[in-house]
Formats: sequence, structure tokens, C-alpha cells
Amino acid sequence: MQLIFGQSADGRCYPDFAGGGKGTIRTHVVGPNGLVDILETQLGLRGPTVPSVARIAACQAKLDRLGGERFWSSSFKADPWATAKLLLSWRDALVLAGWNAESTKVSPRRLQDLRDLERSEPATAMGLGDRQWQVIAALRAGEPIAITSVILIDDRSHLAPGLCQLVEALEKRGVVIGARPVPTQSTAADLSALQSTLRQPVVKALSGDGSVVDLVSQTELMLAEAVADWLLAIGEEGRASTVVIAEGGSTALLDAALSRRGLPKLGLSSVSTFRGALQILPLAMALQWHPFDPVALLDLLMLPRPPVGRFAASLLATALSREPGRGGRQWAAAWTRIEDILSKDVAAGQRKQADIDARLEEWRTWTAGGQFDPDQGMPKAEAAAVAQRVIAWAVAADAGAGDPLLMSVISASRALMEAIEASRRDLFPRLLIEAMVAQAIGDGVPDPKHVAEAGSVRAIDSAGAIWDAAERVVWFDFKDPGHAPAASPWDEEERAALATEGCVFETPAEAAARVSAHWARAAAMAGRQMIFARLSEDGGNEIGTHPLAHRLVSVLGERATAQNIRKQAEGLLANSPFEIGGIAIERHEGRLALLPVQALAWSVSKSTVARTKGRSETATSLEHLLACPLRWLLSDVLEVRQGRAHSIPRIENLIGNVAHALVQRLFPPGEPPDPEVVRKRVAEDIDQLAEDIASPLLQPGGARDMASARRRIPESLAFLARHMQARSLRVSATEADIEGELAAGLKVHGRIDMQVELPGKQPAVIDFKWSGRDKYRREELEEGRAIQLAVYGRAVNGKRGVAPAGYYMLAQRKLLAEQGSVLATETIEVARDLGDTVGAIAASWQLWQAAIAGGSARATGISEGEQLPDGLEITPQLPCKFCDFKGLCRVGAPAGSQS
Amino acid sequence: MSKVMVKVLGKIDSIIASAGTGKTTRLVELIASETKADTPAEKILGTTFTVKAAAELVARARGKLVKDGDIDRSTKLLAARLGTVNSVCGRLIAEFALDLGRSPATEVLAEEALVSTFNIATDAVIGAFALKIAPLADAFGFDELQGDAGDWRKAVKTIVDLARYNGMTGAMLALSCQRSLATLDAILLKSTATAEVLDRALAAAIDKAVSAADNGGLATKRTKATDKALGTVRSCKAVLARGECLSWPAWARLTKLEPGKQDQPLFDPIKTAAAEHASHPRLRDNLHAYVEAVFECAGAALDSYASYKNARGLVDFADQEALALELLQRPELQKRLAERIEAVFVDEFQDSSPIQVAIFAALSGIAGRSAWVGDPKQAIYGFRGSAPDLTMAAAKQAPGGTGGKSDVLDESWRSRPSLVAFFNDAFTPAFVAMGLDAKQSAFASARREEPMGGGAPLHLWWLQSKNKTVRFQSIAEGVRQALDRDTPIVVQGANGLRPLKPGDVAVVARTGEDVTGIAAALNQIGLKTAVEQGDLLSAPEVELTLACLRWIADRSDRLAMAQIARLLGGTDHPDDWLTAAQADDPDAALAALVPFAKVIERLRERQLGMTPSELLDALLMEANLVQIARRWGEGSDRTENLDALRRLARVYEGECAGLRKAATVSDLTLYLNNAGAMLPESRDSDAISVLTYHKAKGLEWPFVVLAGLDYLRTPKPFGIAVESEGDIDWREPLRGRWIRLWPWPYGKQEKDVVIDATGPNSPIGQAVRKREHEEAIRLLYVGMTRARDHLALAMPAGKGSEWLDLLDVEGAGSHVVLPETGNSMRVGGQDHPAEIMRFDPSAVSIRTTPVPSCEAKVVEAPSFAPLVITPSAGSSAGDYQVLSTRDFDWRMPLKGSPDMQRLGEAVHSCFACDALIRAKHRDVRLAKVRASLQRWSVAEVDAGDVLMAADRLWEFIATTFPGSTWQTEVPIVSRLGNQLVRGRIDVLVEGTDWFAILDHKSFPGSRATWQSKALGYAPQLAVYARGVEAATGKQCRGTWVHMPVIGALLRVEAAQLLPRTGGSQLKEGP
Ligand code: SF4
Repeated sequence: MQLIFGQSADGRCYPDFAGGGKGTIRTHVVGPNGLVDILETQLGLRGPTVPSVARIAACQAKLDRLGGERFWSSSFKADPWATAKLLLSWRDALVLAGWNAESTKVSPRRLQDLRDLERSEPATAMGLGDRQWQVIAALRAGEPIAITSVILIDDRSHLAPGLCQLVEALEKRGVVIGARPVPTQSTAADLSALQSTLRQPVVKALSGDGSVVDLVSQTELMLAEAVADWLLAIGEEGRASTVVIAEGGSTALLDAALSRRGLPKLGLSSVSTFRGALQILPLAMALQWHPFDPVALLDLLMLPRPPVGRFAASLLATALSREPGRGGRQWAAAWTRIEDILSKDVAAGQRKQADIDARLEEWRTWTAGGQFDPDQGMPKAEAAAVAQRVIAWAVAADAGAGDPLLMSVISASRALMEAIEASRRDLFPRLLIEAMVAQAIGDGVPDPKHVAEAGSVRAIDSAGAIWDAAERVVWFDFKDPGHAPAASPWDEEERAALATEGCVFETPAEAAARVSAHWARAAAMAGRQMIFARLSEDGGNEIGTHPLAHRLVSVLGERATAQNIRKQAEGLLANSPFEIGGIAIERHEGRLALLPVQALAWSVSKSTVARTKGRSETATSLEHLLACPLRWLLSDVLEVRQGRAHSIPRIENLIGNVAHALVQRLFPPGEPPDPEVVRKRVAEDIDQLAEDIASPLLQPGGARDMASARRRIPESLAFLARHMQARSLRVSATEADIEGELAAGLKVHGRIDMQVELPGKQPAVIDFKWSGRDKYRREELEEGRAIQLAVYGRAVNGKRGVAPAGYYMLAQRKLLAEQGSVLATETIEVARDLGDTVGAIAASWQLWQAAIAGGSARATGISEGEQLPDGLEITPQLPCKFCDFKGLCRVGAPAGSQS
Repeated sequence: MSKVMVKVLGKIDSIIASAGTGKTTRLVELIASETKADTPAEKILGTTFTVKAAAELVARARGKLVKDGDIDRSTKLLAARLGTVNSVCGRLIAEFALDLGRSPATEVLAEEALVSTFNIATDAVIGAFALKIAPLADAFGFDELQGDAGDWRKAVKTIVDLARYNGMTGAMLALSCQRSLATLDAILLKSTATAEVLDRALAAAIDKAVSAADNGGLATKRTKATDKALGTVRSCKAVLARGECLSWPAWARLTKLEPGKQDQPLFDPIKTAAAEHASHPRLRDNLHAYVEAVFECAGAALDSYASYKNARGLVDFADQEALALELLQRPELQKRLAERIEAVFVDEFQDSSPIQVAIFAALSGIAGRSAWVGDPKQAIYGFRGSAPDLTMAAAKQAPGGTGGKSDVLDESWRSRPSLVAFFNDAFTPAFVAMGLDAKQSAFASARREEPMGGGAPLHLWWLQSKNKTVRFQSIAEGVRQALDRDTPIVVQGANGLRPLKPGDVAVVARTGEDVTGIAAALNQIGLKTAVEQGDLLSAPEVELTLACLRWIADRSDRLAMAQIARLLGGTDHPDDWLTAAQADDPDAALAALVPFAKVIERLRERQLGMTPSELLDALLMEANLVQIARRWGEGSDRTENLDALRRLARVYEGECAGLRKAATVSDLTLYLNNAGAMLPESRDSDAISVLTYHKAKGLEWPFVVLAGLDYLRTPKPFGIAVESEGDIDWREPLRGRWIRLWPWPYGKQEKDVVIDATGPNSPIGQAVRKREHEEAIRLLYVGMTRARDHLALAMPAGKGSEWLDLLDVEGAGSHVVLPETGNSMRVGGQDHPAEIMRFDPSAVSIRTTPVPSCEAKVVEAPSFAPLVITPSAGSSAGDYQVLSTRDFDWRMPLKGSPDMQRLGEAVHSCFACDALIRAKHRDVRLAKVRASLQRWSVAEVDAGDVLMAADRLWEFIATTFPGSTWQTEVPIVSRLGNQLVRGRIDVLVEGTDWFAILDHKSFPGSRATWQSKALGYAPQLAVYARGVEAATGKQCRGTWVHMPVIGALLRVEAAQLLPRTGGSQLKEGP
């Protein structure tokens, strides 16, 4: 068997196999991992691999038990996981370099500490270094192998010290060690000049013959398009010996562009932990902590394959988005509905009650949780149970299909369970679990659906993985790969001590030379064309040039544009055909489309008009209508709503909701409660209520607002109680549903915060508001636009005119009402009283309704100067505020002539 | 923190490089020659101000070595520590994390994540202090203020940041608090009466006025003014009635009541009583309480922020510096550090903050050589914490104190001689007055030749100055005319003089708002600008993309659908979305308007496999959003905007990683909504650059227009600032520094509240003024020296020239004289040729019609077979048959219920190895098998049994294929059409022109199931067979499934059924 070995050849390599034929057997292209693996197999040394998360957990447990004053002690205290991870990586690097932990020589202190750690029980599970030395030892012991030769892709002098020893051991066993033949220099003038520049410092003038192209773009999007266009233009024959280097490890964007041009994908997908399925594990863990995190649950429920039934997830998500918490009416109602739906299946005989119960139980488990203190941690069994639950989800979701992504979810969860076991601890604090989950997911996985498709172009993620000639090399996103050679953690004395035991490291300069050689080799492999496709340096995100470019200043330097070597990808947008590297790329002139312009009048269909007839409005919907008929049409009639994540109420409203709930709880019908009792009860209940229905307030970042609520609401409600006592107001009802007719044909309904009884038994209305300022409400009253108060005041009074009504501004402790109102702590002189406001509402409603019935809804924010209908008493407040529909009416966009 | 440094410092060279004198070239030379002197590259450390500058420095230094023929050293230079101060410090602290006792993770927080991380980390502290601070914030009327100014948490954060950037501990915060209070007391009036007396007097005056008003005491004809005043008074009364105190802005407002003339007597007593606010004891108490609480809160926040990050292995920029300084000063680490750092190069030294100066000083104690390069005249980051006085002193004193050299680069390579002369005359006196040597203040010479003709170097533009818009329009007209002349203005091009082009022009403005205004004015007359302006989310292409993302995240998002339909409808189908929204099934109708609705659907499902940012990419490409956007014109700008959105998505993922939280599409849309991102700067090289003075630093243009010269911000001493006490000692730059907090207690009331006068007049107020004025002069210098060939001063007529006036020399009148007409300007007594013109807003108004881009022909993404053939097991077993079965009549005995996968791997491994040693003594083989089983923790089978199975297999091969050769674990790669076969064959038997394949499967089932199980593997074997055929040209003689556990070999028919033509593709299973 023959091996072709390179330090960067563990992943995808180019070409697929040696020689120009149709394939090879008995020849392996391998990197360090592959080499060790093959030798292990032949030497009978293969064994299971332990996931890194479990190795680290075991190392952390060892560190815990080892104790003592060590050089890592303080760091271990601050962050045990990361410290264990680092020390393990140091240990692995030492082993790889030939460290002998069993040596009895006196070492510098840090090495001695590490040696103590290594020697403590249990033994560290094997890493690559351990395996490599085990193989070397077996080779030295003369165990048989079936390898005849190894061809080195890299210069032998560039091999890391440990690998050198491995190669030597092979050589001693009679394996022929050969060097890769040097490809012949390109015959294309510019490419040849470039290749000689890389070998020796010569400066040759380039002719712009297209064999070297510096393709520059302002954006990655355009760069991907340009390269895809070019690959299409060179034709099947051109693509036959083309390799794309994508050092970032992803060709996702390029592949999308290729796909749209009818070409196969190259299929390099970068590893990431942020693939939806992999998020289930961290989300499920996040739900376990106190205080409960509603957003994590919402995220979980909105995933395409949520862990509870889709319909249930949808119902629960909606409930959460309206009333974020698990103690409110919405949440309870959602569950009732879920149970109803499921029990229909039972009734229809499709399912057994026991199945339904089990299913409900399982769903509830997913949405429960939130009880563990993050610092103290969750018990081992619970942590494992979460992982187990995720496995169960993945198994069910996969249904035996063997989907690689779901399989990786399963293996990550298993690795986590293994690590939980290896940790030998009872409690897992939040930080630890999060670190473990992150590690278990590892660096993540590539997108399993994003694979290379049958075609001729190949992509590799490391320049060092090109081991033989290619006609064309495209270096996609040619930029500073950003990993400068790291300095060794060991100082001179330590390195000297290690060296005496045969443990030697690569120096930063050697590492630099090695990677530089990889880069240069990639360019040397090109036979006909070399395309450097890169972002322009002055891109918004300050990217550095690729180190290889530093060596090519004479080629890619300032004169490149003049020499027809540098091509700006954006040229493709302006000119067709556009030439890149001697290939003319044809594009067609794009269609011109005009952006939508703003429009004042919008047509309402007959059926919609019919729907608006006989509607019952709420105070809010009336506010919408009178502000802007289009807004009303969209939000209240057609229910054009945002998605759920965007519907979670804002902090101000959440606090308001908590206050409403407190009022309902503490102001039962009858005499106003004792202010002191109110103050006390509010202080006692507010946190629980917040958790039940407004849990974002308890999330990190909400403390100031929550503190403000805790500070002001007890005082404020106590003040209200006192004020009510002073004014002899009695509570008639809180959260009372009302229904009525505001004017002929104008039906209204709603729920009022508090209905009170005045000394003369007359009803009155108090509406609660939580806001930083009272200016807006005050102006509403002053200008006779307090629609809510007017509607409620009218509704509680039936036909007897409008009852007094006021806003209780919770934060300011002011009851705002019109002058002369018995409710008010502060009276306001009004231009129009509530009675007249009702009239104004009705009149304005009538006008807008008539327009709508006529088939037109107006967007009042458009063209501010435009005439409003005659007689409109409540005029819109401009510019529009808090409206979600700006993107539809396009207020602010240029006006246009619209049919 | 600032321990006295006993160490001897290494030699420090200081190089002062004026604008455009080849600073980077010098630095490159220094680094290259250090490398040539065989200093190991990894021991060279260099810092710059930006990532880009660092990249340029490395590139140029390496390029220079290559040019000099030194490829080897150029390669090694990759290992050098060159980067921004932060990255260099970050690398050091990562290397020394264990020595610092920190989490070794040292994950760097992204700039965008700083605020949210701080808020989360300090949440509990903020919550605890809120009870104390919030009432005071109320008393100061913070709720009247917009944005950060009204958020006391911001004050806490600023103090925490400043403390960290100045290496302060909790104790130093306490000291800062005391000093803040002492200095604040000095600007407050002494109290004359007790709080109760003053409160009562005001309350009485209010009561009296209100009851008088209620009882007809007002003038019969009430005026609006009186109503307003009365309203103010009434609401104060309501506050008092609740038993609360009036806020200080309320007091101030009461002093400014302006009732109708006749009602004044009624209000005057209120005004008099309220006027006592300035000496009110409670004002002082409130201020004290606030300052104390905020500092105390900051101290607690400092701790909790630090421990939050340390527990998570996070660091921010401030930590990187503070920790680097800490480690550089640790005596026990000096030796190890010295092994790592030999030579230090500092770029843009003048912009260093005190802690950075301390770091550089500490570094010079470790390294043998340092070179600090900078220009004190261009220090413009005082507002961001740099300390110009300190850096100037350091640059001056360090060489002398350490045996280094001072050098000045004063030959301009950039500007033409006449401009250089102008800069010298304009600035030298001001810089000398600031303490610079004359030599460092001026250019000695200009390298370029003065062009003949082509317009005067200086341009004085008088603008119509009615309002800002008009001024901006006048500037635009000036630019237009400069570009459009009968005798063109000429500039120096690469090949000699050439006419001025739009890309040569830069307009430099004071604020971001001005930049936007000027750009708008230029656009209005059809001139293209390169400017970062406006909200990214307002760009329609971004709006469209976001709506698509929201729809992916939540299929119930009807608003998103409507928005997409609206944007796609354009002007051709403007109503379609609304018609659809009114349909019986609005969601379906809306979706029908979206040609890529299917793509959205598909992407929604793919959320499980893709990351949010990959999904965004896929959306842009697969839904063709990029091309759709380009149809609206300005194709490359729109592509850039979308690219900016993509970058944000990646920032979001980075932030999630830092906070270890999940990243989802739904969360991404929320993040993007709140990110407050700006549109990226257009990178069109034909556009006029419009940018701020600060952003212009380091850049140059042939024609530079300076705006905003008429105006100077009045320095205000209120808020938070770092002060320093005692003489500046560059060796101990952090000594004597303290944070001053002077809260503004009057909300929106800015004038006539006493401290608005006493503050600025105090010594601190004066010092603030001096600091800010000096910085303004330097900023002006930066602005002017951007010009290569032409400099235009855009002055609003009749508005003065406050900023330019800063250059005046005391008692010598205007230093820069701005004549209304003529052909020269007098600067410092010297005449400089200038073109003086007057501009009104342009009469031209051009609305450019969009030009569509050239587009690639796109197709629906075709579906190709995978490159690597992966027949899934059992997929098409029906097409295969079992030809024969060799039953050994022997089952491998299993104890218990083993994990079959593990057992399979173990047995497989045993075979692979045993094949090579099958000729050896049985004990040797047995030992191998035992070791292997142990390694796999498989105790359920006996080693001897495994060996038995192996022997049977070997024997089978020998008898079935006499005279053949065979090998285990044989790699195969071959091409079948466009696809690849890739894998390892368990056993490959070969004859001269034939081969056979055997594959182990450790299946433990019953006899009845053998066949179907074996057939499941047949397709895979067939693929291998085809692969081997292709690679070797030999014929396949059969494929066997070897089942060692049940002791059988089943020959499955393969290959024949597969198509043999090279071009066809093997499809994947279902
Ligand atoms: S933005 Fe203004 S005009 Fe447009 S729908 Fe909303 S309220 Fe009406």
C-alpha cells in the first residue's frame, strides 16, 4: 500500500487520486490523523475515541482531586472548565512532541505540576499524540505493516518533530519515503513569472495574458457571483481540472451562486454550533434555570420541528408572545385548547386516552423547568434527563432515516451524558453546563445537506491540501487566514528541560515557514491559470491581505490594474461582456423595476366593506381608525400582524400588565382597600406576578425597570387607595367586560381596568397607564382626543351620557381627568369634554366609514398637507407614531403618480 | 496599580512625523532592518491604531524584505507580534492567563456586544442601587432628557469604563468621588437658609397664587401666557400636595415663569422663592447623594462585571490593556517576557491613552529597543480617552531619559509647496503656544513640485447662510462648479497633471448629521457621494430581506408577507398586496404574490440544518433577492447594503457565542431590528467623499473642502471626565488620575441656573475649555493637511469663523484673515494665493434615473447527484440476490447483550490486524486480539472465538480463490462518470484480471434473516466493485458479505445490475 502524506491532507484534497486514470486502489492520501489511523489499524491498535467533552470533564475531575498549590490554581478557581481544557491541550501538545510523563528527572515547576496531573488516576483517555507514539513504539518493535512507500507532500524539513519521528520509524522499517515530484512551471507567461517570483526574488514584468488574475470585489456577494460566472464561462472542459481553495472552510455562498447558474455545488460547509437542530440542546438547558426564560422557550417552540406537537407549539408560542410567562390566563388557555384538540382524537377513536396522557406529560416536561439556581446548579440526574430528552426528540424526529444532522444531535447529547458521568460531580452550575454543552456540540458540524455534487470542480479548505498539478486554481476569498503562529507556552528553561527528554516543538518561525510553503505550493501547482478572488482592502470590515500576497507585491502590487491583472468584480454589473482572465463573461441587461411609492388612498374590496358592517370596535381599534383608516383596516379588520417573536409586549406594557393584575387582585368590589395593606401586598406579590405573566422583566437587563416597578407600584397603588378613600370612591368592578353602542351603529366592547362608584352612586372609570411621562395622555385630554376614556365612560353609563373617566398614571401617581372631575388628582382644562369627545368620535367614525364603504381607505400619514374630509372632528396626529405599517403605505418614501 | 518602576527602561527612540511625511515608510524600514539584524521575528512587537493599519504594516514590511531579496526573513516575519494595541495585548494575556490567575478562555467580546454584556453582568447591582439612585435621577429631571443622557446607568457604565481604561481600583473610585464632591461644592452657592424654610416659602407662594387665581385674582382678560404659567404652577402644587419634593428643573422653571404682564405681581413671589434653588441645601444634598451613590454603584458594577467576565472567560478591550499592563509589571514574569519581546514599535503614539503609555513604558523596560512614532499635532482622540499632554511629554522626554534618539520627519510628500507654506503659517504659532518646538510644529520642506497653473491652492468659498440646508446646498454648488469649469482645476495624477474628477474631492464636516446633510445636497444636484449615511434598515433591499427572514422564522407573520408583496409590486402592481390581504385566505393570496414563496418554505424547514447567517445567504441567493434589489438601480450600492446585513448576522452569531446563548433566525430578526446599524459607506471610487474630520484622519485627497469652520462647541464641564493632578510623568502615566462626575441637576433647563456660569468659570471649567480648544486646533490641522493640491474653506457668509479664530495669537488680531474678494488670503501676516468665490444653492436639480445592472442568467437550482456515491444500506436491496451461502455451522458465542456496533468495530479491527500476522504463532495473534477487545471494552466475546472466525475466513479465501493475492483495508478512489467512489474495502482479493470483495458485518441475527440483511449491503458492495473495475480494469468475480458472528459468508450478486456506461450517475437512495 502506498501513502501520500501531507500535514494538511486530513480533509479534502486535490486531486482525488494519483495519476491521470480513472482511479486508484491501494493508495491513500492522508494527513496526520489518517496516517495514524491506518497504522493503528494495521498494527491492531485501533480503539474507540473518547469525545473531547468527556476528556475535558475527566481532566477537570482530576484537577479537582489533585488539589495543592499549582501553577493553575487561581485560574482553575475562576474557570475550572476552561482551565481543564487548556491544560489538557498543553498536555496533548507535550505528548505529541514526545513528552515522557514517567520521567523521574527534576523538572521546572510547571512541568512538574503537569506531570503530577498526568500521573494521577485515572489515566487520561488517548489523544492523537498518545496514539502517534503508540504507533511509533509498535513500529520500532517491529510489528508488521503493509505499507511500501510514503510520498511526502510537504518538504521533509517542514514536518513537525513528532511526525518526523514517525516518518523515520517507517523508513527504518523499510518503507520508501519519497518526495512529491515538482510540477513543471507553467508555460503561460504571467503565471510562470508569478511562480518564479515565489521561488526566488525576481521581478518580472507581467503582460496581462490572463493567466494570473487579481479579482477584487467590494462585497462577498459579488465576489461569489463573479467566480460563479467565471466558472460557468470557462465551460465544462475548463472546469475539468479546476480547484477552488476556500480557506474559510465554506463555499456556501459560492455554491448558492453556482446552483443558480446550473452548476453543481462544491459542498464545503463550515462547522458551526448554530445549526437549528443543535440549538435544541442549549435551549432545553436554558429553560431549566430560574428565572424562567420565555424567549428561550419561544425559540424552542418556533423551531421547524418543535419538541411538542406543531399545533401545540404554535398555540403555546402565541400565548407566550402575548403574555410572556407560564402563570397567566393565556398560557392556561393554550393548554386547555391543546387538551381539547387531543381529546377529540380520543373521542373519534383515533387514539387512546393513555397515549394522550403520556403525550401531554411529555410536552409539559419540555415546557416546565425553570427551577434551578444557576449558581448552585442542577442535579446530575436532571442534566442527564435533559440530554436524554433531546436524544428522544432526535430519534423521534429522525424516524429511522439516519439524517446526519439528527445523528449529530444524538452524538452530541450522548457525549454530554458521557461527560456528565466523567465529571464525577453532583451539581452542575449553569456556566459549567453551558461550557459542556458548547464543547459537546464541539466546533459544531457542517450542514449535512450541503454536500458536493457530481461535477468536475473541486473545493478544498486548505491550500496545503493540493498535492498535484491542476490546470486552474481559484483562491476564493483570498484574505489573511488570521492564524499567526502561536508562541509556545513554555519558556526557554522549560523547553531546554523538555528537549533533554526528546520533547521538541516546532518554533513559530518553523510554523510560519511550513504554512508559507503550503501557500506557495498551491500557486506552483497551477498549470494554466491562477485566480486570486478577494475582497478589496478598503472593505468596511478592515480585512488584511493574505500573507502570500505580501510576497507577490511585484505581481499583484500597484501596477496590477494598469497591467490588466486586477479586475473589479463590480465591472460585471456595468459591462457585458466583461473579461476576466481571458474569458468573456456575458450577462444581460437587467430589468428595471421601480420602488413602490407612497400612496394616499387604498381600495377596499366589497367583501371587506361587508365585513366592516356591524362590527363592534374596541377603544384601541377606534384609536386606530381615527388616527388612520388604513391602519385600522390592516390591524383590526384584516389582521395583518407581526410574527410572534416581535409581538412580545414592550417593557412598559409588561409593567402595566403586572399593575393591572395587582389592581384586580387587591381592589375587590367594595370600599377601597387599606392603603397600607395594598402597599404590603403589592410588594409581596409583584415578583411572582412578573414571573407569571411578564417574565422578561426578570431576565438580566431588566433590573432597572423591575426596580422601578417595585419602587413605584406599591406606593402608587397605596396612594390610589388613599385617594379613593378621600374622594369616597367605591370599586364596582375591575377588568370588567363592557359592551354598548357609542352612537347609532357604532357598537363597542372592551374591558375596563376599574369601574368605580362615585358618592352619588354614579359610575366612573379609571384606566391605568404605566409610562415614563404623562405628557401624551395629558395632551389627549386637553385636546379632547381621549378616545379610551370617552368610550369607557360612555359604555358604563349606558344612555345617560358619559361617566367621569380618568387615567391613573402609575409611575407619576396622578389621576388625570378633565377639569371638575371628582376623580382627578390633577385636573386638566380641556378643549372638548368627554361627552363631546364621544360625539366627535362618532362623527369622525361616520366620515371614515362612509369613505371605506365607498371603497377607499386613506393613509393619513401620507402627504401631510392633503385635505381631510370636511367635518372631521378628530384629526390624525402627524407624523404617524408607533405604526407597524410604514412599510406598506410607505410614508416617507417618495410620492409617485400612482394609478 | 501604578507601582513605581524600578526597572531601567530600554532605549526609546521617538520619531515625530508631521502629516504626509512618510511615517509608515519609516516604520516599515525600522521593522525590516530589525529583522535583518536577526532579531527573531516572534520577538518583534509592533502596535498600530487600527486593524487595517496593522495589516498594511505587515504587508509592507514583508513586501520590503521580499523586494530586498530576503524571502526567508519575510516568511519568518509572519510570526511577529504586529497588530492593534488590543490584539497585541490580547495575545500576551492569553499566553499568560494562568500566570494572571484568569480564565484561560480570553474570548474577546465584540464591540457590538459590550453594552449588552455589561448590562447583563451588572444587572443585580443596578437593581440594588436603583432604589437609591432613581429618586435622585427624578429630582434632576433625567426623565426629560433624551436617550443616554436620561439614563443614570449610562453614567455608571461610563465611570466603570473610565476606571478600567485608567487602571483604577475601587479605592481610587472612592477618591474620585471625594474629589468630585469637593470640586462640585466649589461651584454651588452657599446656603442661606434651611431646606424647610425655603420649601415652605415656595409652597406658600404657590398656594397663594393658585388660590388667588381660583378666586378670580387674575387679570380679567386671561392670556395664553398666564395660562401656561398657571399650568406650570398648578402641576407643582399637585406634586407638593402628594408630599413630594419638586424636581430641580421644576424649581428652575418656576424662576422663569412668564405670565401675562398684568398677572406678574401674582407670580413674582413664586419666582423669588424659587430663585433660591441655587443655594438650596437639598440641591447640595441630592448632588452629593447622587455622586456618592453612582460611584458606589460603579464600584460594585466594576467588581461584578469583572467576575462575570472572568467566570466566562470573556475579556473586552479595556481588560486586554489593564491585564497586559498588570502582567508586564509583574517582577516574576520579567524574564519570561524578555524571552518573548526584544524590540517594540509603536505607531500613532500621540493617540495613546494613559494606560497605553504605561504599557509602552513597561514594554520598553522589557525590550531592549523601542521606537515610538507619532505626531502630537494630530492627537484628536481626547474625547475617547487619549491624553495628548501626556503623549507629547513622553515623546519629548523618553529618548533623553533612556539614551534613545529623537527624530523629526518634516518633509511633506503629500501636499504641494504652496499648501505646505499655508499650513506652516497657519498653525506654527498655535502649536508653539501649546508647547511644541518650532521644528516639530512646521514642515521643513515639500517634496513635490508646485504645479504650474490649474488654479490657486487655496479656495475661500462664501456660502449663503440662511440655514443649514441652504449652506449645504451652497457647498454642493461650490463642488459642482469646481468640477465643471471651462478651464479645469488640475491635480497631480499618477502620470502628471490632470483635470479634477469627482473621486478626487472630499468634503469634511463636523458631525454625522452635517455629513448626511451635505451628501443629500450633493445628491440632489446629481453628484454621487461615498458616505456612511442613514439607517441600514431603511434601505428597501434590507427591508425586503428582513421581511423574508421574519417570514421564515414565523409563517404566521402576515405583516412580513404583505411587506414583501408590497416591495415586489413596485409601481406596476402597487395594490396587489392589499387585494391579497382582503382575500378569503389572505396568507395564501399573499404568498401567491411572492415568486420565491417556495424557497422561503424550503428554507424554513432547513433552519434545522443551517445557521442563521447561512440561511440569510441562502435566502439572498436562492430567492434571488440580490438581483431583485439591483433592479431598483444603484446595483453595487444595494449589494453592499445586503453585504452589510450579512456581516451583522455574523456579528450576531459571534455575540451569541460569547454569551453562550442559542442563535436562531427568529432571534436574529429581533437583533437586526435593534442593532441600529448604519448604511455602509459607498465604495464607489468615482464618488465624492463626505466624512467627518475624525474619519478623515490618515487619508488624503487632491481637493479637500472643509465645512463647519464657523462654529465651535462651547466646552461644558458637566458630565463625566478624567482629570489628572500634579505634574505629568510619562513613566507613571496613571498617577494622579481621577474621575470627575458633575451631574447636571436641572434636566432640560440649561441657562440661568447659576451653575451654568460658575461651572465654566471654575478652574476645572477653564481647564476643560483649554483642553477642548487645543484639541479643536489639532482637529483643524488634521482636516487641512488632508489636501494634496487644493484646499477650500467653506464659510457661511456673515457667521464668523469661530473655529479658525482659535489660531489667533493673543493681541495680534485675526491670524487667518478671510477677505470678501481678491485673490489672496492673509495668514499670519503672509499672503497666500487664493481663489475667492461666492456660492448660492444650485439652480440645478437632478434626479438621476436608476440604471439597472447587468445580470447573470439564473436558473432554478438543478438537483445533482452527490459527488461521492453513497448508496444507503438496504435502499435497493430488491435488485440484488444471494447467489450462494457458505455456512460455517458455527456461531461466535456471545455473553450477555453486547453493544453490537462496538463489537463489530472490535472484531473488524482484529481481522484487519490479524491478516498481517496470520502466519505468526497463535499466542502472538491471541494476544493481539485480546488487547484489541480490551481496548474496545468488549467482554462479551472470547478472543479465541474471534481468532477462530478469522481463521475460517482466511481459509475460505485460500480455498475459494487459490493462487490469488489478497489484502485487508484497501483504499479505493475512482471516478464513475461525474461521481466518485471512495472508501476502504475490508478484503480485496485479486487475480491477474479479476478481483473479489469481502465485507465484514457483525450481524447477530437468526438464520432466517441472513439473506435480507446481506442484501442490504449489496448496493454498497456493488459500488465498490464498480470502483475497483474502473481503477484497475479487472473484472469482478463476486462480492461477499462476511458475517463472522453467525459464521457465514453470503455471495451477493452485484455490479451486473448497475449501468456500465461511464457517464451515468448513481442515484442516492430515497
Ligand atoms: S404609517 Fe401612518 S399613514 Fe401609514 S398606515 Fe401607519 S398610520 Fe397610516
